[in-house]
Order: sequence, then structure tokens, then C-alpha cells
Amino acid sequence: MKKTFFKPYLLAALCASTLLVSCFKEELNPTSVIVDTEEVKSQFDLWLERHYVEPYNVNFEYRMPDRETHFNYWVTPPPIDKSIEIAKLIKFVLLDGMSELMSDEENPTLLAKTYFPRLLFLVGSYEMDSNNTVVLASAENGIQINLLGVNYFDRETGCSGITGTMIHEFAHILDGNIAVPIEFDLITKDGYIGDSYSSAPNDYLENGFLSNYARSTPAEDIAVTTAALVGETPEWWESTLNSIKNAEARAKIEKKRDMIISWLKSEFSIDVYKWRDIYQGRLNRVGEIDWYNLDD
Amino acid sequence: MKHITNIVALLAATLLLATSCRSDDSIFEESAAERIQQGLDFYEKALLDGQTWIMEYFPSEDLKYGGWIYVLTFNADHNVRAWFEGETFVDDQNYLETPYAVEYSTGPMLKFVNFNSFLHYFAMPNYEHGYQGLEGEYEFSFLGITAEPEILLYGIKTDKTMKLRLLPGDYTPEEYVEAVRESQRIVRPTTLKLMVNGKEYGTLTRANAFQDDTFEGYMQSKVWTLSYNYRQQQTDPTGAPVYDDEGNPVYEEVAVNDRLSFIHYPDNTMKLYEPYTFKGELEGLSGQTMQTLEWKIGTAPLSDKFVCLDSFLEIEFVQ
Repeated sequence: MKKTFFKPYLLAALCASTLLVSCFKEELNPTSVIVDTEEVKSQFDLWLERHYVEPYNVNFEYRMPDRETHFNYWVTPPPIDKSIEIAKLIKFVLLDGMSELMSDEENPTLLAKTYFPRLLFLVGSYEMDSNNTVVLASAENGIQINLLGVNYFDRETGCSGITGTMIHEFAHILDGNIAVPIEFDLITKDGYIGDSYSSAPNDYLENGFLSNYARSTPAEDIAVTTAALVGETPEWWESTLNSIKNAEARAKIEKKRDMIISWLKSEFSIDVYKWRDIYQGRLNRVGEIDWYNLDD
Repeated sequence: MKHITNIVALLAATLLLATSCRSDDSIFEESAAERIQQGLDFYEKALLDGQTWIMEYFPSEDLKYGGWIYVLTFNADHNVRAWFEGETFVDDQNYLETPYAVEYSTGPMLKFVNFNSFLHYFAMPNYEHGYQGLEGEYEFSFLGITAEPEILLYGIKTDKTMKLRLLPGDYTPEEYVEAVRESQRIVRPTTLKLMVNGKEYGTLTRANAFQDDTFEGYMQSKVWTLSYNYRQQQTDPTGAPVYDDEGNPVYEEVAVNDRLSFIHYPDNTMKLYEPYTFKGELEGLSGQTMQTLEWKIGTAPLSDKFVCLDSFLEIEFVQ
């Protein structure tokens, strides 16, 4: 008897409550709480949209939003005139150069679109530490290259410095996407010395490296070797290799060089010597760049 | 038992009803994003309404380099035109223009977007001044607007509050920064005597008189050293006060050499970032403060002197 009284009563109460709970209609506000700020686009912004974003899906960030900077360094934003010059330089020598390199492919821009860093981030000053050690550039997470010291860029003398640095950092990004075979690391595995590279004697060639910086880590060795393959002439390679007295060291450099050539070809369809010719040819023609025109 | 069960059931139902009837009103009428935008619009409008502002800028957390005057004109196209009292050693141009932004970081923030050799002079690290440069800012958090009106800005690196105030109508920006330089140029001495109510207490010295062709020379003329001695009772290694055999306190002389970094105004006054408080037991001077000094021109060059404008005592710095 107790049960028959209790059940209907309780059930009725619960049903009524449930009904009341569900009777309030929660209508979503159709207006987003995220308000888009009205961004004022300059002529340079519009040029970047036409020449970086649309063809290559690359964001060229010259306003230095502080969230992207390294908080352990004191830095300043880049000047706009030099930012424009660097944007034009990188487009002409690297991005358009990569499209030329891949001109036989169905989509010539695909290499740059796929592997060129999604974000180029310009910083006016260098990143300096308390020992006055300077960082020239850095690659972040395979998608971003930070170009530092834009204030000091001189287009008469500094073009190859910027593009060479970009190739170096680009190699890091390629390596980060599809790693160079581990055998590369083993060729001079006992020769990597970390940060001590900065105080090492200049006997890197005799130890199987193209620079002291290449001695720091295998990753830097890969980047230095790639940058030398693209940025240096056949004559430079020949004279450099011929200057090495230690035959074993020379063989190690040649082996690393060949591994990079093979890796670029097999993983990215990059003919490195064709790239070198295009890159160096364009670097010799930077005088053709219209540095001031933002209407094209 | 039946009653208890009924009561529990009713309570449960009431509780559910109460839960479902709870009002879910927002505390604010607008969303957070809308309120952020309103804050940005508020400061943006203030900058544009005032249009031309004097910026009092203090680089360095330790105030090593003195205070500096900029004049800034904000335009609706998001460019700011900057005049700088240090233009004489930075760039041979009257003003430099650069984009600015009012954007949200930890709060509303004024940022000078692209490099400007005036506005980023103190922030730029380099080999000459080291990895922190001259410890300056290029991003400033808005703290508020006073009735004056003054816009208060905060520099995160320097932990200093800076301010924007309106350029007086009788000055052009060029005239104002030149007047700021002139008010420093007329002060030639590098050593002055600290006089309090007519009695000499110490000295105020600086490395050099005003020089506008180098940063070092200019900066050193803004930064003075205030030197004086005061007595304090000696303490033993445990920190206990020392007395002589007759129970009298034993005193020692303490030499004070404090850095005073000034910012200068066209009316021949210079002001410290915050009031300076005199130290020690100094015959009525202890605990007294001073912040603003005016260079008073006397009847003869040697009678020119600084007079403190905001102390209870008669504090002067004479030749």
C-alpha cells in the first residue's frame, strides 16, 4: 500500500519538475562574442596579400606583435621601408625562384605553398644576450622563420645574407617535416660540440664540417650544408674541398653533401643544382627589383 | 514513514523547480570582446581628440638616463608624428612619422608599430648600449585618463608610469622641444651647493653641462648626484644601538650620494620622477621631500640658482 501511494506521487512531482526544467528555451544569440577589430590595411598590406598570401599562403608579419617575440630578449620592431625591401627580395629570389624551380610541375607554387614557412616574422633589432651574442634568425616549430636585425639590412650589400639565412632556416623546416636519414648524423657523430663551436679553432674543414657553426649539432650541419649547396658556386665547392688536407674529412663532407642532394631529390623533388642556378641567377639580378613600387 | 517520504519527494521537486527557475542574467550587458573593443575605442578616441600630446618618458627601471620629452601627434590614419628633444643626436629631422596601434594585450595598449629612430631610441638593443639597449619601451599599457586631461601609461619593462598631456596652444611641437632644450641650455654649472633655510648641507653635481650633440653628453646633464652627510647612531654586529661608557649614543657619519634623474620643461623647471626624501637625522631636513626645481635667473650669472618649488623648507641649490 505504501508503495502504491508513493510511486505515483513521486513520479508526478519529478515529471512536473522535469517539464519545468525543460520549458525554458535557451536561444543562442546570433551575434558572435568575438568582435573583429577593423584593421586598417596599408598599401604594403595589400601588396603582401597579392604576392605572399594569395600565391604562396605565407604571412609576412612586419608589425612585430609582441606575442610572437621571445620574451627573454629585448627587441624592437622593424622599419617599414626595410620590411618592404626584404619582402620584395624574398619574393623575387626565393618564392618566385622556387616556382621557377618547379615550373615543370603541374602546380609550380606547390613546393613553396607546402614547405615554405607559413609565417615570416621580422624583428628590427637582433636578439642579443648579456654576452652580446647575437641571434641572426631562427626557425620555429617548422612553420615560422624569424628574421632579425632588419634595421641593419642594406640592400646593396646584404641581399645574399638575408636569402642565405632564409635557405638555412628553410632547410631546418624541411628537415623538421621529413627528416634527413639518421645516417647523416653518424658521419661525424663525434665531432658535434654544442655551444663550444663559438670558441672552437677554425679547423672545421679538417674535421669534416663546412663551418664551425655546423659543428654545433647535426641539425645545424644539415642546414649549413643545404645552404652551401644552394648558395655557393661550383668553384667555391671545388676550392674548398681541394683545400682539405685530411682525406677522411673531405670524404665525410662529400658524403654529407651527397646525402643532402639525395634527400632533397627523393623527399621534395628538388634538383638542388637547378635550384642553385636559379637562386644565384636571381640573386645576381636583384637590381631588377622595383623596391618602391607597391602597385604591382 | 509515509509522511517523511512525501516530504522528501516534495522537497526534491521544489529543489528541481528552484534550479530550473534560476535566473541566468549576465553581469555585463555586452560581451567581453565588445567591452574590450569599447576600451580600445575609448583610448583611441582620446588620443585623436587631443591630437597633439606631450609624452613624458622615463627609460630604465633605475632611472639611469633621466626623463625625456616627446611631442606626439596622432592621426586618424594610424600614423603618429613624433618630435623628440634628443633629435639633435639621433636624426637630423624635425619629426619622424610611424604607424601606431591601440590594441589589446594584457589590457588596452599603445604600440608604436614600426621602427622609428626617435620613439625606439631607448628600446633598441645594440653593441653600443648592450642587450637591453637603453632600457626603453615601445609598448605602453593604458592606465587611465585624468581630468587634466592626462593619459597615464605604464611601461612593463621599466615599471614606470609615464604620461601624455596636451601640448599648450601657444607652442608648436618644434617650439616646445626647442624650449625644453633651451631650459637645460641656460643651466651651466656642474656643481651647486645644497642650501636649506640658508645653511649649506651638501652638493648637487653632474658630469657635464648640457650638450645636445651626443646621447652621453645630453643624458649626463640630466642626471645629478646629490651628496650630503648625516649622522646616525652606530650599531653593533647584532644590530643593537651603541652607547659610550656614560650612556650617550655613539654616532657615525653616513655619506649619501644619490642619483637624481630629472625631466625638463620649457618654464625652466626640472622634475624628478617621484619626490626625493632626505635621509637620516639632518636637523629638520630628515624626511623632507623635494621634486621640482626651478632655475631662477639672478642679477649676475653667479647668482643663478635652483629653487625647490614643492618643499616645506627653503631648499636651494646655489653656485
